[in-house]
Amino acid sequence: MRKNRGVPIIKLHGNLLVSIQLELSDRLVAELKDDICDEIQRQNPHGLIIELSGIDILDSYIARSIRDISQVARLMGVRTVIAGLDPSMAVTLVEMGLVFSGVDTALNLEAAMQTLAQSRAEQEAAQRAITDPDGPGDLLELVE
Amino acid sequence: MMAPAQDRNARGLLETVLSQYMTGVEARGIIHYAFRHCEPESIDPERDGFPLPLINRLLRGVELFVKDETKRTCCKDRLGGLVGKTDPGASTRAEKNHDPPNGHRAANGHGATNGHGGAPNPSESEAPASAAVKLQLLADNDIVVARNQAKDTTAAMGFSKTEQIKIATAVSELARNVIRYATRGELRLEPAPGPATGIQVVCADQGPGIPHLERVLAGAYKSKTGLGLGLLGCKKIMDRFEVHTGPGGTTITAVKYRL
Repeated sequence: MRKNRGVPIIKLHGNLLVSIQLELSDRLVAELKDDICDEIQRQNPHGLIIELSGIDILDSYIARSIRDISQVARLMGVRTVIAGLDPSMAVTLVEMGLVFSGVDTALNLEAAMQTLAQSRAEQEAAQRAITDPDGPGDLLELVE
Repeated sequence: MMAPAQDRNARGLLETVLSQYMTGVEARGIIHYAFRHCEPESIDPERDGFPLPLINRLLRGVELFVKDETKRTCCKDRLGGLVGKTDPGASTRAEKNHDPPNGHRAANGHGATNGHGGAPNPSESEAPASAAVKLQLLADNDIVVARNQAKDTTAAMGFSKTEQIKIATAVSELARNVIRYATRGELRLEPAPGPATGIQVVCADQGPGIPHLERVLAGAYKSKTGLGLGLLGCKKIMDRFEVHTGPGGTTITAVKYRL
């Protein structure tokens, strides 16, 4: 784990985990964007999990920033899953009309890791099919 | 403004307490910030204790700097113990425009829920439950302070958790708009007018005003900077939402009643 300025970014099972456990000031959000991009480049993960159970209030700026982060990650070939959103916050975001469009979500960290593990397996199987079309077809079936 | 000696005394006392849980630099930082925002008129810690808004402000800092759970609880208890122990009327002694009250509030020991009479004096609260809180919005961090204060105030008023989050989010939006577009402003959290329990949020600045207001509020305006989204979101959440804006500044008044 690299010691970052505000929010730690941890590599776990080939994914990056960002667990936000402190008050997100605007400055921290901006730093986080940069740090995540750096880490993606450094660690080459398959997925990025942004874990939000430590946040209690999510306004439009932070929501937009998280969406931006996931879009940037996607441009770098990394799939983002957002996990741990507090139910009250989810209600608030919907009522305010701020929706995380185009971003995968999961109920909690475990579910997020499962989603990413699955997508990684699918991706690897697909790659194998490309490089070795006569290869073990059973593995493909297992994944499905 | 406070006499220098009193000020030093008060700060020194707070620093002694706080630096047992964080570094001296952090403690002094929090204290400086709290005093700057609460503008206490006079503090005599031995006689009056500290005003509640000041302690609340310090508690925010404790949240940030004291990571250890046990230490944090301990520190918060210590700070809580420093709040003016005398009757709620004691804190009004520090008010700017008031004569010392003849204990009229102290008599029933209640914060007022039925209006504040003449001068609301928002910067000193008489009792947490119906505090009128005034916050200066000067820097990024104040957005965080504002929304936490909104959460605390609505919690004290008995709003449900989801409602607290909604209102705090709305406050966060308004505060952010002020900092972003008007650089500085003021936020007031006070009991809503009328018999029903509710909170009134008044956010005022002297910025350049909100362009295309009608279109923003109709959801038809797509701003590059995101100004419209937050404002529209607030309007959807709150029960009443009034915007007065012009080139000289903007005042937004929003009310939400408790269910």
